[in-house]
Amino acid sequence: MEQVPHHELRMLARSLSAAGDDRIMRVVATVDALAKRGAADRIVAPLRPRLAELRPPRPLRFIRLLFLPLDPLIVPAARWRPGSATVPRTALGPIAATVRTALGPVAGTIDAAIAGRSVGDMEIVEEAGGMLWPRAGAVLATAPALAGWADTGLPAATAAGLCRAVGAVLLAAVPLRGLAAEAEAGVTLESGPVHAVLAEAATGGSEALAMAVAVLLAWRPQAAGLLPHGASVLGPDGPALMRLAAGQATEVLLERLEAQGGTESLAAAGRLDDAGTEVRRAATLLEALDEAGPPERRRRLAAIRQRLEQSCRSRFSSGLENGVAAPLKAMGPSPAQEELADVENTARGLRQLESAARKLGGGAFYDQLLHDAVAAVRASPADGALGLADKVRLVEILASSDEADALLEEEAPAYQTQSVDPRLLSHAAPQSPRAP
Amino acid sequence: MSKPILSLPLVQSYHPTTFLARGVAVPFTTPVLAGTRARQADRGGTELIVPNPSGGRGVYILAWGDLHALCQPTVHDRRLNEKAAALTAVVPSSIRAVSRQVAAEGLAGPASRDAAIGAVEAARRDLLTANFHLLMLLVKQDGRGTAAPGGADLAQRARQAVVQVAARLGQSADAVAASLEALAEMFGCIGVPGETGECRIPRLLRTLRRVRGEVSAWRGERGEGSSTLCAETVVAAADLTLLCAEHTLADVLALTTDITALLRTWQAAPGKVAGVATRPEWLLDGWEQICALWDDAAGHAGRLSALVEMAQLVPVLPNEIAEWGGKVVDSGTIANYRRRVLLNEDWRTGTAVYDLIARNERLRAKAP
Repeated sequence: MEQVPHHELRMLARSLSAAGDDRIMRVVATVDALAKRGAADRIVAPLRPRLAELRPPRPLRFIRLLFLPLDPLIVPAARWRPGSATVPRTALGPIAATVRTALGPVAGTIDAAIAGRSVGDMEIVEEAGGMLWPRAGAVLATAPALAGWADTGLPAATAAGLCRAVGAVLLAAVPLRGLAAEAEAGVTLESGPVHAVLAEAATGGSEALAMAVAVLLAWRPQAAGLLPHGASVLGPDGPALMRLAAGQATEVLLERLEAQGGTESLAAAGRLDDAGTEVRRAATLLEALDEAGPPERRRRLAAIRQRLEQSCRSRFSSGLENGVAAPLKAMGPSPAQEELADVENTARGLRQLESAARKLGGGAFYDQLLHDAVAAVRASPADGALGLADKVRLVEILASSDEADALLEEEAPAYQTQSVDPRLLSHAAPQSPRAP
Repeated sequence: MSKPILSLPLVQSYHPTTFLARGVAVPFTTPVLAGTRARQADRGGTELIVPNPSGGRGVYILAWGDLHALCQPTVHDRRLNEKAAALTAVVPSSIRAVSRQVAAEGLAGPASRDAAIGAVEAARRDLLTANFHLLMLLVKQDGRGTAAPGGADLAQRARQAVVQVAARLGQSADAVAASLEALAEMFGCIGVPGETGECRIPRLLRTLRRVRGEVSAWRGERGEGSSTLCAETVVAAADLTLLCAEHTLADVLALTTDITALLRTWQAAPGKVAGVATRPEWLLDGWEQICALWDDAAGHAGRLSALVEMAQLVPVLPNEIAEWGGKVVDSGTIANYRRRVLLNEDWRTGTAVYDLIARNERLRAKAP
């Protein structure tokens, strides 16, 4: 691959830009399987916005694991500026190679732990990451000479500073991810633990602090409100340092969203419920950043919000058509439980996406589409694919339990006042009669 | 999902001193109703004890009909609420019976429906088996030889034993047979010595022991933080519950060492026997759902979320337990947890609500 001339690589990359999803997935899988990617990375680079949407399963490799905690900060080298609290993609290779060499046999242990795993294997990521990140942080904190830096095309003088900042964030990665995971699980983030972790990152300098803040806000935007309180733990200049870091982190996150596909990939990405989570997170972030921003920032936020709203609408309507309406139309009179479960899961995912997207606007749009979908479910014939319980459940998901209750009362008036043979309610049970 | 709260009562503190006052866990699927318990109200009728949905301290105590003031319950929960409101006795077995009845209607999904129908059938089999083994114990203790099933004269020896014991108790044989059937209703979920199958309570104890072990191991692999506090809370509550449940289970099984005496006590004071026989069930009430939460959780993030929720749901142990087994309750760890772990605004609300309902339906299938 290293031997392929540049112009051929450019032509290959250009032809892939118009390729279908399947072909792109195959190409990415092939590149991911290479022991040494080298120039192959240039083929993948223009595809990154598409990959963000397609989310192919990415094999968990040493370099990918190392930089997972810094993922929101990684930018193309062309967009990187020294001290911007971001990490240029071309620097990942030299940094990872340096860490690998310094770790010695531990690197082999980590390789063995992640062999055959993908980035989605969170348990392995946390386990192997727990082994790797603090050690890598300690290595990078000493700003070692980075072999291969010349190939990055970046100024030599920037290497040491970047190394230190990345190292400090990696040193704080385990507790930082722990806080975010607990918050995701329902525990309230509190100022004390948040600032303790940020203080650890701040030992790598103001850029490292900004990086850690950006990472925290990307994972848990609700933390924005905590940043001004308790910053004195960083020292006498703590509040000022924190203001600076928060400003820089805001810029990193805004630029990430403003990049090509940076906003659209959120609603378009992965499963519908994942998209709902991403959109809710982004909407919360936009809200947090909007609170006290200058007019210019507000204009940028409004543009991002508009793009996000549009992509949510698009994902919602295609999801409703392809995941609910079409499968219901195609369903035979005795569908398998799995077929119905798929439709229900899609409907749940759509509601998650919709309730997150409503924060951005478009309420009437969603109301209308959901109303139409409910009408289609209600109109499905008694001898069709859906039993009464199935209809009630779908209406409950797509509309509300009030509406589902009304349907139940309408179609089975005696139901509310007497026991009903369960077989009356669903035809999924073998040899059961149809609902009235 | 929630309607505006217009007429909710104030949040109240919740320190039940008896198991009746603690109430019975109701397996609602609406996320904000997680951990809700039902009990008989002081002024008649039944009421619901709903943990503060904000995750803060205290509970709402609502009349059954007021559930809508708090949230918009799922259709399954409305149905369950109506059925449970009509109960004359709010005890674990009655809530379980109506829960299975409602789940069997399919409103919590086909998996819950199939599990509920299967559980009703399994309970019926357990009851018949318990009845048979109580009778066999009676035969054995009456000195009529070992009661191996399938013996040619087994039915005859059983009839003779019943007649003999009936004469001793001053009852008719039919009355003794009816008493054995009534006792089997209680022993059906516990099991009778000699049974080879595992009944509901011993199975739940085994599950709780396993989950306790897994949570403890999970905690051991991690450092400090709210999640480890959650794990410690679950382990502490599980230890206390296991200790008390095993003790009370032994008491119940001890009743079967003399079936004639058991029948005599039953004849004189059935409430006394029922009181002892249902203690393990009261103690373990609510743990089935908690264990199912753990078993349903996948991966690190799933288990973390499950633990936070499990720690919220661990049942309070009333002081009445001291009368049951001489165990003084130290619920300091649990109270400490509730003070220290605050839940955020996404707790049981937000976009995850649809996934949580689906998850709760899966739990209904795992713990029918």
